[in-house]
Amino acid sequence: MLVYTFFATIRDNVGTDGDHALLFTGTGLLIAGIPFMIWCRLKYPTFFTYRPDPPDTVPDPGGPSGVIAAELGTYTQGAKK
Amino acid sequence: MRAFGPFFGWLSGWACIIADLVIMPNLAGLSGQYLVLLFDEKASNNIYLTTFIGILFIGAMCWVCWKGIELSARSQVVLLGTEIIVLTIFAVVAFTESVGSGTSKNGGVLTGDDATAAQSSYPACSAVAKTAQSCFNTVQDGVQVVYHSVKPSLSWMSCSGVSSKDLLAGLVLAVFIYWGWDTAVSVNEESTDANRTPGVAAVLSTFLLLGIYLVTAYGSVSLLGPGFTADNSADALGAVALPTILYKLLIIAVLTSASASCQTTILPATRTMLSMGVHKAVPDKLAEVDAKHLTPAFSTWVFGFVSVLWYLLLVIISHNTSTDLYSSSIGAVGWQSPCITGSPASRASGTTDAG
Repeated sequence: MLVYTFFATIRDNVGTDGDHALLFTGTGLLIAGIPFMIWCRLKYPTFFTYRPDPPDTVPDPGGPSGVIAAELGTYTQGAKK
Repeated sequence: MRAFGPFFGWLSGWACIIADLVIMPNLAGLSGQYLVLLFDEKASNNIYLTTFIGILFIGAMCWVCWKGIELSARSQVVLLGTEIIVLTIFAVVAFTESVGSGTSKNGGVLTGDDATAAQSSYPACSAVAKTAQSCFNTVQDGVQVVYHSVKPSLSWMSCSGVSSKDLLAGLVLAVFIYWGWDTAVSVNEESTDANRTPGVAAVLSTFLLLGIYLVTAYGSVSLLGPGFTADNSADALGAVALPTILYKLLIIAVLTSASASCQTTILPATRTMLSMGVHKAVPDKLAEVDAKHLTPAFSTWVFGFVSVLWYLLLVIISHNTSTDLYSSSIGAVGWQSPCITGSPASRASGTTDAG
């Protein structure tokens, strides 16, 4: 829904009155992050080698050390299903 | 980063910082304008004066954020407390005034831009029968708005008959209104009882915001009708229908709200920069923490400095060309809001997993 909202507002603002100032500040600054990210990728390669945590290795935030978190959607307060 | 991977995580952090940066001139400008408005209505249109005061506000709020999280929290209590008290008084007065709904009332006199806006938005009273429609009379000092109070109704909550475009606009507005109310989760590692307090604060602040919005929106609409409320700023609303003392209090409420938002924009932005610096996703200078105040000093002052530059750029371009970049930046934040709201992990995870 949020993705749809994002593109719908682009369509409404650019398609109707051609407000390029809004296009510049809204999307241009977001896109400007891409070259900066590429620069950071070259300067700090270690960060970009990380991969998302596999679900079966995420530790239980409230449990003792070494205990794996319950599967998403099955966690209840105080006890696991 | 740990949930979505480094590239999407990096861009999420960037989107948060950029959205915070884009909104800063509007919040600082609002603070400057309403501070001047409190003392001199005509001077509030002086762009140089309000910009200068706005820059001072950015500096002051950066100083508070740099000085320490406890001072930041206490200043939020004062600013938000003032806002809530004033809006409560406003709501009581608005509902009381709107009891005589359906009748025409002669409002206050608007001058300057507010008068121009009223003349372009409403017909002259001589041109309309005394129907439930706001109109204006030209008087010596400006224009006098004749408004019609309406009885509050639960049907105002219904989405029936609302176009999808209006629904989308409402959705973006809702995200915009929520601006800054998520700050408690951005400073989770600086909170007492970090496992519980930020989460409880986030839930409570959401309900508090909802309450404030409902009461003030119902109060405004019932007092002045939906058309006038939608088309005019808070100061015009106060000038038309409220006693002078309450009008001034309403200005103070907007002033404290903008100042509080200014502060709650700096806090999450600098914590995101700190987090990205800690994870070496950006220069680690951004992760530098002040040994005495235990705040991300370098990030705070960099964000403040860039905000001032961005503010000046917007004002200069908007004031000297036909491109109103300053007003567009408000729309841009609404535009970017889906991006930053769609990546809550980077906003909510503080210094542990952001970036």
